[in-house]
Amino acid sequence: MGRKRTRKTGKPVRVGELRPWSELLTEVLELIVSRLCLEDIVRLSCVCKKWQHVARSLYVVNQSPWLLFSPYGDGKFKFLDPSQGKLYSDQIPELKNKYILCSKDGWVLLSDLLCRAILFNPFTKSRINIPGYHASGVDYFALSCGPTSPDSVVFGIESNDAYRGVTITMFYPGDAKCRTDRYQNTDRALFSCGASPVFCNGLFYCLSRFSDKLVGVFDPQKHTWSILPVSPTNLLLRSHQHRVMHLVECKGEVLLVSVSYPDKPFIFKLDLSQMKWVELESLNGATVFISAYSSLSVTDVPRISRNSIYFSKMHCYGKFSHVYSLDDCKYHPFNQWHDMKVILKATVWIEPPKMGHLLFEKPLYMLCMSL
Amino acid sequence: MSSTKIFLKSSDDKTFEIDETAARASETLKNIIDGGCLDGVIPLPNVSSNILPKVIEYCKKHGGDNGSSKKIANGGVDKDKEILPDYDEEEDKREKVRVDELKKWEEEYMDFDQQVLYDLMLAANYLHIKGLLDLTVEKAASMIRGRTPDQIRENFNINSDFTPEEEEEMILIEDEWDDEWAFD
Repeated sequence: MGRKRTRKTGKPVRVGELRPWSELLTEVLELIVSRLCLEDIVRLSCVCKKWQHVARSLYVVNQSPWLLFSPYGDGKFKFLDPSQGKLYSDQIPELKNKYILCSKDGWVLLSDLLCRAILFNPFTKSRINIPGYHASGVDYFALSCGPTSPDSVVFGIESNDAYRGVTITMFYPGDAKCRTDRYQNTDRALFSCGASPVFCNGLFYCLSRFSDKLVGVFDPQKHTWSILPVSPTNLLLRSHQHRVMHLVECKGEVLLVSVSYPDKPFIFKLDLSQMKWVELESLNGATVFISAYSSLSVTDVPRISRNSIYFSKMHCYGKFSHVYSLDDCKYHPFNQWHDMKVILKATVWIEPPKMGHLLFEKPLYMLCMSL
Repeated sequence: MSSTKIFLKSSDDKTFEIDETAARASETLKNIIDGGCLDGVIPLPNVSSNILPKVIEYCKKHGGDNGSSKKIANGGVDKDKEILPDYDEEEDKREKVRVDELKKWEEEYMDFDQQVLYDLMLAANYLHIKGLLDLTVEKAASMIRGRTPDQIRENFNINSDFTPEEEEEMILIEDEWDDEWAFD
C-alpha cells in the first residue's frame, strides 16, 4: 500500500485487535465485489470460503444497461455504467452522423443521412447492412432481439391514415432484403404510433400517439396486425401536463411508463385478460431504464436501485433528478452525472456484453467518489 | 443555523453529541428523529466509541444531504441551466472549488488502517450513511484490485480456509479465467 502520509484529521482512531474480514457481513462484501472487474472477482474468490461463496453468487448476476451517448455528436462516444459509476470513452466513427433508431441486446439500429438503416454493435464493432431498408417516413422501430439470434427481426411501423392502416417493414438479418406490407387497422380505426414499440412474448406492441385506449399488436410470425381496444388509463383526468409515454417489457409484461417531470411518473401494466391498463404502485423489485428510442428493464443488478425508473439525460428535466424511486415516490440524484453539463445527443440505454468493461483498457474517468 | 443536539450512545456506553442536521446524514438516525422517539439518548449497540467520533466527523461534514448529493448554493434555481450550453461559469468554478476541497477532505479523512475501515464500513452500513458506505467500500475494493489472493489475504489478515486440494483446483480455475479474459 505504501501510504506515507502523516497528516490526519480529527482524533486519531486506534483499534487494537484484528478484524474478521473473512466473516464480513455478506451485504457489505457484495457491495465491494460489485465494484470489481471479473479478474479481481476471480482472484477474490480464492481468498477464503465465505468470499468465494459471495463472489460466485455475484459474478453470474444480471448486468446493468449502459447509457450510450455522444456529448458533442462528433463520433466520440461515451458509455456510462450506472452500476459502477464509470464512464468509458470510445471513438466510434461508425456512429458519426447517424441516428439511433432503437437498441436491443447490445446492438443499435442506425439510420444514416440518406435514411439507410444499419444494424451495428458498438462493442464488437460488427455491422449488418439492411438492403433496401429506407428509414424515412417510418415512425418507430423495434428489434425483437439481437440480430445474431436466429429469430431476430427488425420491425418498423408507419401510419397510413388515408388507408386507415399501417405500413410495416420487417427485416430478418441474413435475408437479402426487407419486406414491406400494408395492413388495415381493426375497425378502420385511426392509429398512429406514439412510442417505441416493444417486443413481448413474440409480439410487437405499439401504443397510439393520441390515445392509450388503442394498442396495436403485430405478430411477426403470422404477419397479422390488430388494434386492441384497451380500457384507458385515467391519466387525462389526473394530469393536464404533456406526458411522454414509453413502453417497456418487464418480466414478460408490457408496461406503460408515463413521464411528466416534476410530476411523478405513472406506471401501468397491460392486463390482456381484462384488456385494461392496470396502474402499478411498485415494480416488484425491477428497475426500468427509459430513453427515447429504447426502454428496458432489469432485475437484481447490484448497485442499481430496485423499484426505480432510470432516465436518460434527454428525459430528465431537473438538475439532479435522474432516478425515480417508487419506494419513496421521489426523484433522486444520480451522482455520476455531476460533471456532464453538455447536451447529450443520441442517448440510448444499451445492454453491454458480459463484463463489457474489460473491453475498455482503462476508464477515462472514475467517478466512483460520491460527492 | 442553530440545531437541536442529539446524543448517541456507543456500544461501550459512551455518549457523544451531534447536531440534528448532521445526524440526518444517517438514514437510520433520520428515521429515529422523524419517528419522534427522541426522549434522551439514541443507543447504537453496533458502533463502538472508537469509531463513533469518526462517523460523527463524516456526518458533520455532510450534514443534511446524506452524502449522496452535493449542496446547490443558490437553492436549485438553476434547474433549467443544464439544458442550456451557456451555464453560469462562475457558479461552475465555485462548485469546482467546493468539490476539490471535499475531495481533499475525503482523502485525509480516509487515511486509516484496515481495522478502522472494517468498523467504519459496518457502521456506515448499519447507520445507512450512503456517502460514507460508498467511500469505505471503494477503499476496500481498491485494496483488492489488481492483487493476488495472497496479497489480498495479507491486506486483510485473512487465513485461507481451503484444503490444499481445493487450493490447487482454484489455481487452475484462476489460470483458466486469465486466459479467457485476456483481451489483448
